Amino acid sequence: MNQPIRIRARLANGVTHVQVLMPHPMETGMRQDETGRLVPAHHITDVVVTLGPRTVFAARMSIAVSRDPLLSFRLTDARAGQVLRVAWTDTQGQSRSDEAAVT
Amino acid sequence: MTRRGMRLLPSVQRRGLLQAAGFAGLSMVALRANAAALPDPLAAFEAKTFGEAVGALGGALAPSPLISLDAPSVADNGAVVPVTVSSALQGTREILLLVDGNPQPVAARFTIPAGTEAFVATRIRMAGSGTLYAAVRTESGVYAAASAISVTVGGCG
Repeated sequence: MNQPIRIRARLANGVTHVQVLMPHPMETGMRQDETGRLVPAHHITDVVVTLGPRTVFAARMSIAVSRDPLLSFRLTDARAGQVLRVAWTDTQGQSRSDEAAVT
Repeated sequence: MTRRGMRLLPSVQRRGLLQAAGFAGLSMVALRANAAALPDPLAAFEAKTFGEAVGALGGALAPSPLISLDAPSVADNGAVVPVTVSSALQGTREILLLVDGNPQPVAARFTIPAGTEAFVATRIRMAGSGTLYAAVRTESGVYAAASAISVTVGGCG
């Protein structure tokens, strides 16, 4: 049901530039729908990025992260062909993980 | 302390400084004490005011020129404010984003293990005009850079 995480990991001059886009409504709990009712809060709380057995990046998020969270970060010891795995969990207990190879 | 903070960061609003409960220069003694008892930053997420959040992070954010915070000075849409942070501080372990004026001031915390650059870019929400802080936790304490952002349309609704 959740849309796939989009992951791009490009190695250039020894540094891997990673961009991650996680489609998610990131509802703040303060927004009203068309009928004026508050839409309950529903947002990603944790993101863990692993390269093989190693956690290389992690994020904890509040409602103040924009809809469809975008993360950019840089790895200094990743090699081409290694697989990067991104996993998120949200306030409703849903989760999703996807993978991409470093290119 | 407040007066010194204002000299260091002339663009920061006075209200933000007062709420920061010590966003100002620290003595080395205070810094060491701070580092000895680095609290769990997750508690900071529960904070409802900026002062509470800073308290949960150890009580003070020491300004550092080694932190680079890139964000627009005017954000038309508070729902999507692009932010880029990088730190040249030795032993950067975490980068946190805090917004003075948001109902939940701690926006995000990023963990930076060895082998990952002390760099992150993301997009955050701001409820209204206020000050964005990039806080960096190292072995020796919590440091920060600040940026005043004027928000045209708030991003909470």
